Amino acid sequence: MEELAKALKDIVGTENVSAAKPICEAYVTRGIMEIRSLAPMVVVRPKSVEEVVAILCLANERKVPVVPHSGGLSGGEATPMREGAVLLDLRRMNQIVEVDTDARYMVVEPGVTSAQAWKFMQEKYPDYRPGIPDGAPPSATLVGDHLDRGFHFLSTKYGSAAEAVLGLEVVVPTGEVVRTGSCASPNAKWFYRWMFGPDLTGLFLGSQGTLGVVTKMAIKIFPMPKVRDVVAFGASDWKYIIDPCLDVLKTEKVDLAQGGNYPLATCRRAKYRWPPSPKPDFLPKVWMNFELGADSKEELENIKRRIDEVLRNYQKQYGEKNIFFWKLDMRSIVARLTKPNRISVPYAGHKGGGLLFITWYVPWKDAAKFGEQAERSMEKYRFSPVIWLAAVDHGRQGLVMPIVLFDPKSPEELKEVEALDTEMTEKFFEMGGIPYRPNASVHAPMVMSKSIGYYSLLKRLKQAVDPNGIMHPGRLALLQEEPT
Amino acid sequence: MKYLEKFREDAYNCLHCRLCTFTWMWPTEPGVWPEGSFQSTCPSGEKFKFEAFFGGGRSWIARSMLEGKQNPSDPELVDVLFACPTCGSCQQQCTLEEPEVGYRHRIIALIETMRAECVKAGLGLPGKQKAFGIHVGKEHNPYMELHKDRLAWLPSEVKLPEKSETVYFVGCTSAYRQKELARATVEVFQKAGVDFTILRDEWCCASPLLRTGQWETDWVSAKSIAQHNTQEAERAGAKRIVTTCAGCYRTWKKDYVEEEYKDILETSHEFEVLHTTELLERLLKGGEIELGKEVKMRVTYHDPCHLGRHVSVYDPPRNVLKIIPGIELVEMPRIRENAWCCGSGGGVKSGYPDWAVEIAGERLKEAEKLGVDAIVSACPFCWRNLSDAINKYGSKLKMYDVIELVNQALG
Repeated sequence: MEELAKALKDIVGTENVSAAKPICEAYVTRGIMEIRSLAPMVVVRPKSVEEVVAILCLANERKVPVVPHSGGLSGGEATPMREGAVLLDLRRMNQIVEVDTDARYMVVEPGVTSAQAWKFMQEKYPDYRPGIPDGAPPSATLVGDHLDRGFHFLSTKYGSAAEAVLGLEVVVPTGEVVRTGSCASPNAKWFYRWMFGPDLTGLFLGSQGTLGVVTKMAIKIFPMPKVRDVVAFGASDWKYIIDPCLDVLKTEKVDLAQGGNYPLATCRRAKYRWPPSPKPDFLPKVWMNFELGADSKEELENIKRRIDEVLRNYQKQYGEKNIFFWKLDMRSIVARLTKPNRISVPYAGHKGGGLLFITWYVPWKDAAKFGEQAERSMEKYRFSPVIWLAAVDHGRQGLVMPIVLFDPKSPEELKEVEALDTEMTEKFFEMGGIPYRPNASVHAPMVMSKSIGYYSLLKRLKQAVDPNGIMHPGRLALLQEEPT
Repeated sequence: MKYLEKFREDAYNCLHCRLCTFTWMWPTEPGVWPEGSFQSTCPSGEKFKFEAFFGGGRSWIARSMLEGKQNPSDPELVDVLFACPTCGSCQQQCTLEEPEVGYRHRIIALIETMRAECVKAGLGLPGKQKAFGIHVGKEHNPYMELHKDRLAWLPSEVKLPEKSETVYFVGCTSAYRQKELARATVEVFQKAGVDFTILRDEWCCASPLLRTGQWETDWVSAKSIAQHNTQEAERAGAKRIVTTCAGCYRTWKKDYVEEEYKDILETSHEFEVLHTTELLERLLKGGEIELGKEVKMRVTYHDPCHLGRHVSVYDPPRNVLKIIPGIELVEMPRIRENAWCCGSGGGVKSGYPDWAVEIAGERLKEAEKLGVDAIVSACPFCWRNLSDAINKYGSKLKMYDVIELVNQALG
């Protein structure tokens, strides 16, 4: 270990390497997207692509596991699953390399945070905005969110964050620096996601650090609307919310559509996981809100009018008690329209800071069924049934996210969280859902074991790119932990 | 882990969301973020960079200590725990929604408690921290001065009563180092006709010990100091304690009476505790004093952490400055809850003196961009460290405490 640390210090400088136990322990995170997490053996903080290359060559030669970590906002997902790993803390690589307002993209390094990007654009290019994650703290990085197929505040309109990626610079474990998309050509800009042949950009999206270290990413930037507003539907039950929402989404005019059930709102103030707080009168049982943007008040009013028409049609069918406009107060509207925001953070106040997002991609049309199933499973395990959902790509897909609030001090509760996750995964998989960010302990092994052809190809690709299996072992059920 | 166990809930409340790493200011209008938003906020993290040096990382170290994974006498803990001015910005950023959702994450208490656990386990303290702790035990001040000289700053012509309802608690920094601030305070009180006295046997308030984990050691006892000071104040007939030092203020106002240190200090009091700026604001608003002389100066105000974030006193010093004729107050981007620390607190000035001045240097840069004549604060410890940075970096800024400007304005 000492020899490895010395070699790493030779690459990045003494002050950027530490194998000190407290420094390594400080990276552990049990929650957000993964509750299993180990301290690394050593932490390295590279500043340049050249340093990343040298680190990977060293690790590959010695067959030492490497875990890339940009902002760490995926929680346990961005920390080692195996003992003896090198954690690459990429926060020193925090340059906004380029902005092109004609092709409408920005190129960023992995340490660029949402806050940094947002403020930079506000000051330099106020007509444009990057797709930053919504709800996640502004310390989340653009590369982390886009690479992990995350959800951003324009995902309803433009698809998951991964859809906005136009190219990557990746250091693969054998030390080569690879560019994907149009910029693979030495003469081309980052304007197009494809080069000739297959989508090699897509190969790395969702790979959870198992194939290489992304050192640059080109992402689309989007126009800043001149006027914005939020309107919301409330409903008496899950079954009344999805179809009206889908009809609104089919207009393809909505920036962001998201909602949830009432425990999503009440859990912020609740003290214990069970029983859930009773439903207050002012909250609908479930709701969806639509964030809208337009270039003029007239255009905005037209969009709102169309939404209004959809609602009224459904009211004739379902009754006004079952589907209705939910008038939000100004504070809620401002909170929703504030980007970046810190909306998700107070959920940790529920009890003891234990928070696990178990998120699934589902066909939007089926989102209510997933929401109901999640409620049933969570109630069975006596976790407050907190459900968030959002529409992606105008409702072609949806995200259903049960939020498990637990007491991390209790080992018994951690076991119950995993038991719940296992049960929900079995059900959701049967129902046709796809895990959003598959965790290593439950989702990946279960899903891969039932997707034989896909898994086989993925393993071969992994073998080709990372022959020694050094990149984030334990994730995606690759190489070191094969599901049966 | 007797001390740390009390804060178990806080340690486990960290989600590791990294909000503790930058400032948060709400938009002034939709989509428009103030200049002070999303700025670096943690001197420790900005200097040492690894996650362990931010509030969140330290919370996870507390977890690992509670889970027995971290030996409190491990020398590798020294910098991780002590290279932090405990300015409280991490806690401020983390618990912004606290009143709304009942979320509690007392990061400063966690850090101080871990320090105490480590000291108890025999871990060495950085720099001169142990030396000053020993000296506080012997001579009741951390400045290696003699206790008998504590009142040497007081002009011989100043005669104070044995007893008074108002006690000016001078503090070690004003008594031994920034004596001009102690004298200015006395002059202002006399000009304002405040009936007050000074403790005849004032000891260090114990703040340096509490901040550096030297709670109950072989060389000093924070409890005996707190109990001595409260008894002295009672003997002096005090109903209110006034301090010019933000560190003493926090200690009297919070540590002597509130839950966090209650079982360590085993003391309590019912005195009203005021910072001089609070008292002056009260006197000025009540028309009891009038500032007649113009002090023509463009200044900016630096919030001391122990006065601002720790005890939420933000407006009184500003209100006093605004009343002084001729003073133009201009604000820096990072102010109030989001103020950048001067770098002297939490034992950093004694443990990491060069870095302390470096932190203050960053504050000076922020002030210099405003084109002001002076940076003003309300704490002798901030005064010292910012002055050291002015000298080190050759800044043209002048350094004042609010009390000095008020004294000038009183003529």
